[in-house]
Amino acid sequence: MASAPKPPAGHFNILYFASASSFTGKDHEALPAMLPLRNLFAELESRYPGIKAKVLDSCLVTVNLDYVDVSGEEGSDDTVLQEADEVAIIPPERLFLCTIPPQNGPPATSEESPPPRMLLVVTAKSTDAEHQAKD
Amino acid sequence: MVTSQNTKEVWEKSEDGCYVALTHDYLNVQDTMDRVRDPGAGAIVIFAGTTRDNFDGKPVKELQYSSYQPRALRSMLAIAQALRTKHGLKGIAMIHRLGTVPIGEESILIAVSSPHRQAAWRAGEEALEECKAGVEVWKREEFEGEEGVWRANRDGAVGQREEE
Repeated sequence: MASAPKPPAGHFNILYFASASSFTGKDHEALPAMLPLRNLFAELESRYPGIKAKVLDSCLVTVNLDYVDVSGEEGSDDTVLQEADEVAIIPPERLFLCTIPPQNGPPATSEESPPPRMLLVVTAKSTDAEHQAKD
Repeated sequence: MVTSQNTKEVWEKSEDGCYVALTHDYLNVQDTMDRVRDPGAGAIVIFAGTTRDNFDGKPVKELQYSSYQPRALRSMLAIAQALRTKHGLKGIAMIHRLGTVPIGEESILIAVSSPHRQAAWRAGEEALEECKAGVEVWKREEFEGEEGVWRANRDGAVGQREEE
């Protein structure tokens, strides 16, 4: 994702990569702002049923390039996503995901395209700590 | 996901003997090596990762890399800085290619220079491993006559596939 267009007033941008992009059929979209970070996954689940268990639960999240805690547990981040923020769903290392791509091309990016059929998810998770250590 | 329409675009960051970049262009070994050249260096080690024509015996047609560029550059620079300090490097450069990379071409170049060769060998290997494990670049393999597979950008076990 080189850069998403500036989101409309009152919205933030969310970027989807790899498996998250395959599931949503998008590489970015604008969502209404002033969304508590802890509600982000629920909001996405309502838009893309099944995404939480299949994709998001193993993903990391950045807000304006910094990794944040979206575990939803007590003590987790009480950030509220603001207008013009850039949020990204970061599929973790060691996660493999299979998709059936559109014919003759890269994964769908246009909003009109139906999401590709999802197949599976797998395997060993890297820990946040390991990831953050590289940060 | 193809990340940019502009095939000449390069994203880069540099600081204190560290250079990191992402590009859709062909990678140039000489340019990358020259970025770490230093009169105090007795060795330059350069690593070129190339796209292999198979994964676990299955023929691969081509590979596509996508990235969250600004985030990936930050991670790459942090890796470079840590290794420069740890191994007393004179210079370190890491550049990753994005988009479609045909079989047999370079997808990543890493160059490190140091006063003595041992540190350069070690730092070069560590840089590659850290890059594959911790940088926000994703690899998609297009198999001959099959659907593509997203992989984290590292070698590893084959994911099991379960159709819904």
